[in-house]
Amino acid sequence: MAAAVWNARNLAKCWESAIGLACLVLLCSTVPILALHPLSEADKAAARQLFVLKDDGSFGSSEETYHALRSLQVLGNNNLDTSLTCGFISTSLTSSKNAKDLFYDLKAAEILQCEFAEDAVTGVVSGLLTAAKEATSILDYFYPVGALVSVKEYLSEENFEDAKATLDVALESIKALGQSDGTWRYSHKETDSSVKAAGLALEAAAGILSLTGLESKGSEINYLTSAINKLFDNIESYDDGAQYFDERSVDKVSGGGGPLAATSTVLRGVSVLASIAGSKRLKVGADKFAGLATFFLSMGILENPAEAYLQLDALGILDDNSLIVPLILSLPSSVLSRTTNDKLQVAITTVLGSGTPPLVVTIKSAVPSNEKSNSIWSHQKLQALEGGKFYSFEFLSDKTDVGKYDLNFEISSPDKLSRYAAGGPLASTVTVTGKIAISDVEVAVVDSDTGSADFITKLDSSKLLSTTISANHLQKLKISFEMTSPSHAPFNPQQVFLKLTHESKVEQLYLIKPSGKHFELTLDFLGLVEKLYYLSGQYKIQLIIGDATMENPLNWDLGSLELDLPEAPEGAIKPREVAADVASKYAPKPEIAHIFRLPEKRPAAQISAGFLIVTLLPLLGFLFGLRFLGANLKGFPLSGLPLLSALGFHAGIASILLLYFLFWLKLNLFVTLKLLGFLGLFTVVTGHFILSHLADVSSKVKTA
Amino acid sequence: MALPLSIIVIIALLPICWGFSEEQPTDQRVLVLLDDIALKSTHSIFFKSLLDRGYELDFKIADDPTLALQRYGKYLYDALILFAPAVEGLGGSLDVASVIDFVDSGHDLILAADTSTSEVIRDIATECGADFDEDIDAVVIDHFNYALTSENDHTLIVSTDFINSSVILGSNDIKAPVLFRGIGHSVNPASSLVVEILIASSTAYSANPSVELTDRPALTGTSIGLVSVVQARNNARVVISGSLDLFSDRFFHSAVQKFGSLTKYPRSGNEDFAIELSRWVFHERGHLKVVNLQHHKAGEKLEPPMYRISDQLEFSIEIYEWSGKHWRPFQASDVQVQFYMMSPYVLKTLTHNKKGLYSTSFQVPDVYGVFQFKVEYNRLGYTSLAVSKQIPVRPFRHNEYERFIPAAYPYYGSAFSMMTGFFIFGLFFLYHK
Repeated sequence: MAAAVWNARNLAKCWESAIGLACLVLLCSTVPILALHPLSEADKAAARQLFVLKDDGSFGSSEETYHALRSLQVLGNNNLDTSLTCGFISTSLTSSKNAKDLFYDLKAAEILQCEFAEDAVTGVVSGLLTAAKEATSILDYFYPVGALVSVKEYLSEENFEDAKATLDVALESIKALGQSDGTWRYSHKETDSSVKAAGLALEAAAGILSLTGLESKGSEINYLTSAINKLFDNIESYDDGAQYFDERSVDKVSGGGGPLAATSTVLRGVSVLASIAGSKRLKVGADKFAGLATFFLSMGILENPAEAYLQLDALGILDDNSLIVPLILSLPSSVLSRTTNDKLQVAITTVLGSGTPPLVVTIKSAVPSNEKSNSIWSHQKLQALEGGKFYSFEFLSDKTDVGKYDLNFEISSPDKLSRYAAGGPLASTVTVTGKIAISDVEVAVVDSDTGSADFITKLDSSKLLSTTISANHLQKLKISFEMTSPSHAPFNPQQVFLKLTHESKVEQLYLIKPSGKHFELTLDFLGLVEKLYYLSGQYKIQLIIGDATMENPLNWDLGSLELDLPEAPEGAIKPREVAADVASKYAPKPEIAHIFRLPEKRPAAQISAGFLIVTLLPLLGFLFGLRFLGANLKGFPLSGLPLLSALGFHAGIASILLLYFLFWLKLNLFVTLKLLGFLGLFTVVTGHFILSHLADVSSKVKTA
Repeated sequence: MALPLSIIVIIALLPICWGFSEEQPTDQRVLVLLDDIALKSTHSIFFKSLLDRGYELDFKIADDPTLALQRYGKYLYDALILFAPAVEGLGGSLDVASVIDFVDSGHDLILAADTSTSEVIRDIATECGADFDEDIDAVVIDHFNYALTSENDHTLIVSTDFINSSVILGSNDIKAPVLFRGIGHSVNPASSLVVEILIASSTAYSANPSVELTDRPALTGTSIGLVSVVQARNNARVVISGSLDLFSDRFFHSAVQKFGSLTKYPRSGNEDFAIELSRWVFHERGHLKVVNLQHHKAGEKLEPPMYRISDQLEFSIEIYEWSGKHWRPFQASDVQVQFYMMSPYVLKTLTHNKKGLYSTSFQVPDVYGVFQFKVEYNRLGYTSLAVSKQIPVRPFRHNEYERFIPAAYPYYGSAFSMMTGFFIFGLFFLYHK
C-alpha cells in the first residue's frame, strides 16, 4: 500500500525538485499490486483537519477560503457557520479589485449559497465584463468568465447582448491559443504550452458556452472535444493502473503544481464542459477515469492544503459527474471464518465511499492461491444488500476448504446508459479460516535395536494433558498425530514445531512433516547426542501448531522428558551461551570491604610488669651482694686533682648512661652521637687522670 | 580590522554552540533519509513530535547524490534517521563505512527495516550488532499473538514483551501493546552493548508466510529481536527496528485487539513506544555527567598528595542527568566507588543527598601502592560513566609505629638495670680498699 501511496505522491513532489530523476527511477522499479480503497472516514477526518477556520470566518485569502470550502464540501459532514463566512465573503466582494479574488469570492458564495444585495453584485458584473474584454491570456479569461457564470442571473437584458459579443470574442481568442496536441498556451507571448492551461481553457470555454448558449457553437464544441480526445490520448500511466496528465515544462504562469494540478484542472474542465455541452458529445473511455481514480486515491491524503484541495476537488468530480463515475471494489473483511460461517461481503462504492444504484456483481472465478486448480465458483451473482453499497455471497460451502482464494469480479449495470463503471482492480484475495481437528496424538519411546515400544501413551488434544517420559541414547522418541481440516481433508499448517527445552534453557526445534494427514517425528537420540550437546536431564516437550488459516492454534506442553545421555567426550562442542539476563548484566556489583591484617598477639600488661620486676631482681641481688661482701669506697680520692677528675669521670659515665636513656626516650642518633662525642672525650680525659692517679697509688703501695 | 575578525570568529563558533555538545547533549540537527518523500506524511506524527521538541529535520531521499554527513571534517548532523529500507545504495558520499564512522564518532542512529530491506541497510545493522534474518522474504510470524485485522496472514504482531527500563521507555508505563510488522533479527548473546528491548513471543518464527517450511527457521521464539538498542562505549545510541510501520501514523492510530483476547485497546502503544524511544536515542534522557570528584582525610578539607595505610578518608562525586533542557541532580541508590589497584580492594555504594552529591567514607586498606578511585556506572539505558583518579598509599614511617610497647618492658628494665649495675660496679671496682 505504502509503495503505491508514494508513487503518486512522489510525482507531485518530485516534479519541482532536483531529485526528480532519482524519484522517477525508483518509480519504475516497483510494481505494486494493491487493493484500492475508497476514501475512508479516517482519511476524511484527517483531511478536514487541514482546513482551519479563522476568527473572521475565512480560511485565509479569498483563494484559500474557496479551496477550503470546496474541499469541505467534498468531504461532507462539516459544521460550518455559513453566516460568518458569508459575511467575510461579502466584505471581500466589495473590496476586491481584481477578477481572481472576485472569482474565488463568488465561487465560495455559490457553495455556501450566500445572498448579497443586488446593487453590489451588478457593480461586480460590469467590472468582470470589462476585465473579460481587456483580457489577453487564458488566466485573464478564466477568472472573469468563471465569476460571471456564478452571477449569471444578475446579467440584465440590456447588457446581455453586449456581454455576448464580448464573450464570443473571448471564446475565439481562447480557441486561438489551443495547440494541435490538445494543450494550450497561456498567452500569445508564451512559446510553451501547458496541460494545466488546457484545463483552465476548457473550463473557461465551457463557462462562455453556458453564458451565451450552445446555438451556432457546433464548431467550437467540436474543437474542444477533439482537444480533449487528444489530451486523453497523451495520458501517462503507472504500472499500478494510475493514469495522469504530465506537465512537460515547468508551469511558471499559474503557480506550477505539476501533474497533480494538471490532472485535477483538466478533469474539472472536462466535467464542466460535459455538463454544459452534454456528456454524449464527449467520448472518454471508462478506463481513463478508472486510471484517474487510482491516481487520486493511491496518493493518500496530502498534507499541504493547496494540494489537498486539488486532490479532493478531483475526487469530488469523480464521485459525481455527468460522464463516468468510477466504482471501487473493496472487501470489508478478507477473512472468512468457517466457524462463524461468514458470508463474503463486497463493497462497491464511488471514490468517496457513497453507494450506487443497484448493479450486477458477479464472481468470475475463485481459485485457491497455492494450487492453480479449478475455480470453485464461477459466474455467481452476488446478492445486493440494503443501502446500495454492499453485496454478499455464500462463499463458504462444502467445497471451500480453509486456505487462500484469488477472486475475480465483474460489475455490470442493468441500465445500459449508466455512467457508473468499474475503476480500479476487480481482483481480490480472501482467506478462509476454520478449526482444525487434531487427533490420535501418540508419544512413544522406542528401542533402537528391537524397534519395540518401551513406553507408549495416547494424549487427548482437547484436554492438553501432559505426560512424563524417560529415555536414554539407545532409544527413540516418536511423536505422531493426525490433522484434518473442517471438510475432512488433510491439512498442512505452516508451523508444526516440536520444541525441546533443556533445563539450562538450551532449545532444540524440530519440524514435523506430514504424509497425507499423518504427522510423525522420530528422534533417534543416538544420532542426536552431538546436537543435544550431550546434555542429560529434564527436557520440556512443546508442540506448536499454527497457520494463517487455523483458528485454533495449539501450543501444547506435552510433558517432560528425562533424558540420559553419555558423558561428553573431550572437545565436544559446547552449547552457545544463552543470553544472560539483562537485569543481571547491568546490576550493581556486590560490595567489597577490605580485611585488615590483625595485630599480633601480646601478653597482658600485668605479665610484662611481672617480668619487669623479675628483670630488676639481679640488680637488687648485686646491691645486696656488695653489702654482703662489705664493699667500700675508701679508695676514693679526697682532695686535689684526683678528686676533681674522679668526680668528672663518674659524672661523665653517668651522663653517657643518661644520654642512652634519653636516646631511648626521645633523642635521635645524630644528637646522641654528637653529645656522646663530647661526653666521651671528657670522660676519657678525666678517666685518664683518675686512672693514672689510681695506678700511681697502687704502684706506691706495691713498692712500699 | 578587529571588528571583522571578531565577526568571523563568532560565525565560525556558531555551529559549535548550536548542536550536540558535552554541555548540551541533546541532538539538534537530524538527517532523515527516506525511500520516498511520502513517508513524511505517512509517518508524520513521529516526525512532528521531533519537530515539536525542537529538532531540525533535514529530509532527503536516501539515494540523493548530494548527500553528505560531513564537510571539511566536521559533521553536519548530530543524528541520522534511516527510514529507507529499500535503498540499494546510499547516495552521495554515504556508504556503510561512513554511517558506521558517524556512529563511531558519537552520533546517534535510528534504523528501521522492512520486508524489503536492502543489503546496505542489513550491513549497517550487522555492524551495529543486530543481524537481520538472512532470508530476504522472511517476516516475523506469530499464530498466537497477532492483531485481529481485516487481513489475515498473522504477520501483524502484538507484542507486550518490552524491556522494563524507565530510562529507555519513559517513566509512564506503555499500557497498550505495540504493533509490529516486519523482519526479525538476532543479537549475539555475548554482546554487552546491544540490548533487545522488544522481543517476539516463544511461539513466533521468522519465515516467508506464503511458502511451506522445508527446514527449521533460522530465527524462532524469544531469540527473535524485534527492536534493539545499542549504547556504544562512546555513548552513541542506536535503535534498530525490524519494522518501519511501527513508526507510522497508521499503527499509531490503529486499535489493537489480540487474537484470543477480549480486551480491545482503542489505540496501540506504538506512539508512546516510538516517541519515548526517540527521546532516549536523542539523549533527552539517561545522559549523565560526572563532575567534582573529591576525596580527603576524615576531618580535613584539602585533598592530600597521598594517603597512609589505614587512614580514614571521605570520598564524594557529583552526578547530574540531562533532562533535555538543563542538568538536574541524578538520583540513584546504586552508584559505587572502587578503591582499586589491579583489583578492587574496596567497593562501596555511595549515598546521595538528593542534590546530586554522592559520598561515602572508608578506611584505606593496609596495603601500600598506587591506587585509583574508580566510579564505573553501567546501567541499562544510561550513558556509561567511568571516572578514575590516581592516589598513592604509603606505609607507616619508622617513627609512626607504636613506642613503649608494654610487652617490651622486661627488655627495657633489664637494659637499664644492667646500666645501673655497671655504674655502681665501676665505683666499687675502682675505689674499694
